Amino acid sequence: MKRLVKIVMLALLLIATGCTTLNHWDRTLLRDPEMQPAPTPMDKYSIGIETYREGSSGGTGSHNNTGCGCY
Amino acid sequence: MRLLLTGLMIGCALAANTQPAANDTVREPIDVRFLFHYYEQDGSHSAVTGGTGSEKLEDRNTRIVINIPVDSTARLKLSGGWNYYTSASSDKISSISSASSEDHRVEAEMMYTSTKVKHVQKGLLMSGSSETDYMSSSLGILWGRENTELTRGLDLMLRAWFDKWMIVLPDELRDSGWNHFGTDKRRAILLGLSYRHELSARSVISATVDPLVQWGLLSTPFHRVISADSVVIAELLPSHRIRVPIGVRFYHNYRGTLITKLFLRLYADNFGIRSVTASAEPVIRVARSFKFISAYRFYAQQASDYFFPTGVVIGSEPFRTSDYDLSEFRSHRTSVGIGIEPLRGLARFGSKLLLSGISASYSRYWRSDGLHAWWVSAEVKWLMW
Repeated sequence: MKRLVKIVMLALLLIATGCTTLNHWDRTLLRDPEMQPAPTPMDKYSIGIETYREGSSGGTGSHNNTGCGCY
Repeated sequence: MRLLLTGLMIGCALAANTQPAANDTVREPIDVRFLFHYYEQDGSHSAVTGGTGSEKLEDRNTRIVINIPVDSTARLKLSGGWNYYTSASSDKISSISSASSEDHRVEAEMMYTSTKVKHVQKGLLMSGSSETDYMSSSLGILWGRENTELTRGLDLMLRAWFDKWMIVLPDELRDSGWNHFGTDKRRAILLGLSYRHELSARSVISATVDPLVQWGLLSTPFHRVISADSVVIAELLPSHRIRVPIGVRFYHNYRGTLITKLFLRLYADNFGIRSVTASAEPVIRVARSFKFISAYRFYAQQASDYFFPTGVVIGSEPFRTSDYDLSEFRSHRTSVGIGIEPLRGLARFGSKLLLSGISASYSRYWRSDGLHAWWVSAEVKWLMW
């Protein structure tokens, strides 16, 4: 697990220090709604179920799980 | 010459009248989404009966999400939901009454965001939910910033929850006067940090770290634990929990036809749970307006320090639970779905209403302890002017 954390941190560091310049016409593929990292309303239901049925939560960009989820 | 100048002036005046002013923008529509979900699960490790017994559950969920463009810089998002569930395990809280076998839950959320300063977003959000034995409300603030090329973005969120239980004990413990919970309140604070980076014209990566601190009544009052000497005792968990998840997403768009969405999450908390989540979601655009979605998700979790299977714990153990959601297990989910959203919509009703698109999905979930579930989801998207 610790090795995996180190690999992820190193990969993030390398990515964050990278450099890209894109023109508006280059962004067509990035503007696709499927390319937005935030979960869609449909995704949020599945994320909610997995939060209720598992001991972990967070890291998904969805924070609307109010209620105890104890059913 | 005078005639030419007069003609030019008249032409300019007419052009000024027919072209929109520089600060006029095309009016954006209101985006309204109706969502419907049906969920079913079964298993044999109900926490209500101490880690044994049916976990059969059905949930019907209806939700509406409305995105309103207030002006060219501000957005208001309203959402509300209602769900009705029947649960075989909740039915066992009391052996006499079946009142807890079903329940309703209502929830609402409001989020206001503004980008008055270019590339800087600020926002406020509040939410609330209510079911028979649990009330929840939250407040939050958002701040986000993008670089001038829009290739990188950083989002911060600070959110606090103020929840309250109505304590319902299992019927074996009601007459004993036992109540070691100390409080009926649950509080939480989340600090969310998300960073997005466009790596190229085809790929984007994002990372989210959102530690959450919870305190108060973190046990579920009606969860039973069966001790080694077969005595029914209540679940008891520490009053503080610190959760630290790190999630990374990598999305790649191949020529607009194949979008690959990869997700990895590492998680740790002070209850002793360590987990890893990995998922892959290929989206195939068969045509501009039609997409086929499939997904596979894998999850592995190490048990909480406070988890004991049925009939193992000694009564004097300060913290104990037989909730298999906190046990060691692996789980898998597969999903398939479709989305139809033509450029000009599916159907137009006058000049003010457009049925923009529909999507549907089916998911199956199974856990190595025997719990299995499936659910269907549908979304209908409307645009209103």
